[in-house]
Amino acid sequence: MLTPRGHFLLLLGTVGAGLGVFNAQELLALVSLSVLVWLFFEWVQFRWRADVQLRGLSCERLVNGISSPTGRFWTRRLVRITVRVSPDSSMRIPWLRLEDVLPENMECSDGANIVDGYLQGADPFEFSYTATPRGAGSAILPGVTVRFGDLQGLFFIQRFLPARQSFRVLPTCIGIDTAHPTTKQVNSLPPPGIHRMQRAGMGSELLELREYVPGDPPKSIAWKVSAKRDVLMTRQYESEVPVRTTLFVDASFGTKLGAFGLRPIDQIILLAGSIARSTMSLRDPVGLVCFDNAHTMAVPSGLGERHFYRILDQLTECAVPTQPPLARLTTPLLEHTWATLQDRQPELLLPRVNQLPFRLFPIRPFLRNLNQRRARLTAALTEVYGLPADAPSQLEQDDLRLAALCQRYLTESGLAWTWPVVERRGREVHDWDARFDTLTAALTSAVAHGRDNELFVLLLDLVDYTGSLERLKQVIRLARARHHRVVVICPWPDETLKAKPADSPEKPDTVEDLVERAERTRLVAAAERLKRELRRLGVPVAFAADRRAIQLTLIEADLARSGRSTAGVRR
Amino acid sequence: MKPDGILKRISDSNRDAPAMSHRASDETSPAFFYGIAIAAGAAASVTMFSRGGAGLLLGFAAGLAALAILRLWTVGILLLVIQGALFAGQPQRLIDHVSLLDLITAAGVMTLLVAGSRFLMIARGLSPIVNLSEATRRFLPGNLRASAEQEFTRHTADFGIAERSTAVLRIVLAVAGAALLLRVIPVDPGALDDAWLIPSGLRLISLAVLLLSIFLVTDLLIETVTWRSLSVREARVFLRSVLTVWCDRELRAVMYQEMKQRRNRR
Repeated sequence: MLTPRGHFLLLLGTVGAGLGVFNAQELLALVSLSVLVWLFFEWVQFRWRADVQLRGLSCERLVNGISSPTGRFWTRRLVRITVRVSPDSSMRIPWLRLEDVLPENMECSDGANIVDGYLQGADPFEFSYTATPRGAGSAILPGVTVRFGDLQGLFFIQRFLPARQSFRVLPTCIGIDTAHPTTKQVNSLPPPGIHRMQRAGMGSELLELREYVPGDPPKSIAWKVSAKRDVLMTRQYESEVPVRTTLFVDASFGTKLGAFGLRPIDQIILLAGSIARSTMSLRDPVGLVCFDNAHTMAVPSGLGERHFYRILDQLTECAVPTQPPLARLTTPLLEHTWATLQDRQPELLLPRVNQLPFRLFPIRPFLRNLNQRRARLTAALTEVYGLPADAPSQLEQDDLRLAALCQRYLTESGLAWTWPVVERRGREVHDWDARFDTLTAALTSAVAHGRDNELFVLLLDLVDYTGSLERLKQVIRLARARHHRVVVICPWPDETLKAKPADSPEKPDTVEDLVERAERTRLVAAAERLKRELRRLGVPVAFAADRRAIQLTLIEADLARSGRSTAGVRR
Repeated sequence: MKPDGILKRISDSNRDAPAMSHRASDETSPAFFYGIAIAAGAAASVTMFSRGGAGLLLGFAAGLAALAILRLWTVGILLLVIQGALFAGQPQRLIDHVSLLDLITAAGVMTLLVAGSRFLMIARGLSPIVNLSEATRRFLPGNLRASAEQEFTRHTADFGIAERSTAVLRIVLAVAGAALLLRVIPVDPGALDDAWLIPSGLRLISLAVLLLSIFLVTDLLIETVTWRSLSVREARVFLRSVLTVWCDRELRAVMYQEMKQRRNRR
C-alpha cells in the first residue's frame, strides 16, 4: 500500500524522531514527528477511501450503445465503447486512474482507455473511446482497473471492477467481383448455381449422339438421325449439376501462434470467408471442414445468407485460442500468472485475505518470497476454478498441475500464444502426424460422400513442414481420381514471395536483418518445394492472403463447373 | 521495437502491452545515482551549516534547484538534508515544550514536503523539467532505465482550490499533532531512579509505545469496520486459507506420503 516514497519518508521520520527525542533536539523531533503524524493522517484517510469507499464503485460498459453481456464484432471495424463508473453513495475521491482492460485482440484507435478522473458526490464518472478488433475469434472485455493514490504519492492501491462482456469477432471478408451473372438472362440457360457439365446426364443441352442400347428411354431416340443412318441412335444430354466447394481449414494450435491479426489462422479464416462469400454469390453451395490435431468439425454444404453466417461462426470458433501444449512450471510462468492475477483479481492476493501458514524454511528472502507467492497463487487459483478445499496444498507440491492451471488462466486472460505460456523450444507446437491423420480422414470422408466434380480447397499451414508429403499426396490422388479439383493455399507471413539474394547489395546491418534474411530464405525454399511436389498432381498451390489466392480458387471453381480438365493460371 | 516484415510472425515482441503489473513508483534506477550525488551535496551542506555563512545559503539554493530538476526521490532527500542539518546544527536541550519559532519552522518544512510531493505527482505535465529529466535518463544503459509508464503521476498539471486548502489543513494538523505528542510525553527527571533509564531514553520508549498503540488501535478500528465489506470470493479465500493454516502440517504430511507412494510405484 505504501509507495517507495512513503516507505522512505516513514523510515526517515521514524529515525529522525527517535534521534531527536533521544538526543534532546526538539526541532528535529518536531519535524520528524510532524512527518510521522502527516503520514498517519494520510494513511487513515487513504484506507477509508480504499477499503470502504472504493468497494462501493460499480461499472457499466456500453458497446456501440448496448450493454448486453454478449455480442458480435467484425475485424477492422470500429467499436465505440463507453464506460461508466458509479458510486453507490456520496463520496469524494480526488483522483483515480481508470483503465478499461482491453484484450490483446483489440487495440484502442481513438481516445484513450486509460483516463484520470475524480468522484464528487454520487455523480458517475464516464469516458469513451474507440477500439478495433484485430483478428477473428473472441474478445472478452473483463472490466475496469482502478488505480487509486493519494495526492502526495505516498499510498497506492489497485482494484478491479468486473464488467465482463464477451464478443465473437467475425472476419471481415474481401469482396471479389465475379464476372458471372447472378440473374438468368436467357431462358435456355440453366438457373444460377446449376452448371452445364459435359458428362452424360439429365440436362437439356445435347452432349452427343450414340447408338441405342437396350434400356435407353424411347423418348431419347433421335428418329431423324436413326432414319438417315439406318441404325437406332439415342440423344445423350449434358449433365446439369451444382459445383460444391468444400473448404478444409487447418485450425491446429500451430496456426494460432503469433500476434492477433498476424496469425496464420487469421489469414486462413480471411481466405475461407472470402472464398465462401464469392462462391455463394454465384449460388454454388459451400461446405466447411475444420480440423485440428485431434478433432474434425464439419458444416455440410449449403446456400444462402444464413448458411454463410453459420460458416463464419464456425470459422470464428476455430480462431479462438486453445489450450497450448503442456509447459513446465517455470519462474517466469509463475510470475506472469501472479502479475495477471494481480491485475484482474488483486483482492484474492491480499495478505489479510489470503493467509499463509508460518514456515521457517526457506530462509533466503528470494526463495521465501517465491514460495509465498506460489502459496498465495494456488489459493487464488483454487477460488477462480472452484477446486476442492485441499487443492492449495496439492498444487503447492504438484508442479505439473500448477503449470496446467497457470497456462489455463493465462490463456483465458488472453495471453495464449507467447512465452512462457507456450514453450517455443524447437517446433513441438506443430504435431504434424496428428494433423495429417485428421486431414486425410476428413478428405477421404469428403471424397466418399461427395459426387463428381467437386472443389476441395485445402487451407493449410504447411510452410514449416519439412517432412515427406506422401500422405497428403495419396489422399489428393484419391480426390483427383474421382474427378474432383483440389487447391492448396498456405498462409504467408509477408506480402512478397521473393527471397533477397545472398549477394544482395543491401548488406545486413543488424542481427535482426540477418535473421530476417535467413527466415525469408527458409520460407521461400519451403514454398518452392511444396509447389514442385503438388504441381505434379495437378494441384495449384498459392501462398498468399490476398485477392490473388481467392481468384485462383475461383478459376479452379470455373474449371470444375465447365468440366474441363485444363489447369488454370497458377502462381 | 516491433519487428517488421517476415519476422512479425516468429517474434514474441509483437505483443503490445505485456500483462505485467507494476507498483506505483516515483523512483527509477537513475534515482539511485542522483541519490548518491545529492547525499554528497547534503553532506557538504551540513558541513557548511555548522560554520554558517553565505556558503550555506548558496549550497542550499543549489541543492534545492538540483532537487527540483531531478524530481526523483526528491522529497525524501530533501527531508534527509534538513534532518542532517538539524542533527548537526541544533544544540541539545532537555525541554518538553516547543517554541513558536520551532512550530513555524516545522510548518515551513512540512509545507516544503507536502508541496514537493504534490509537485512530483503533476510533474509529468511540466514539460521543461520532464524533458531535462528524460534527457539525463537517455545516457543510462537500457536495463537501468525504467519506462515512463511505470511512473504513477497525474496527467493534469494543476490542483483544484479544494485540494490546495486540504494541503494547508494537513500541514497544520501534522505540526499540531506532533507538538501535542511531544507535550504528552514530558521529560521525567527522575527516570534514572524510577526506571533505571536516562530521561531521554525513557521519553523515546514512551513515545514509541504511544505511537505504536495509536497505530494499532486505529488499524483495529478500520479493520473492524471494513471486515464486513469483504466480497463472497474474498471470504471464501480467507476461509480456505485459514483452514490450510490450521491443517498445514497434516496436509503436507499426506501430500508427502502420496508423493512417496507415487515415486515407489514408478
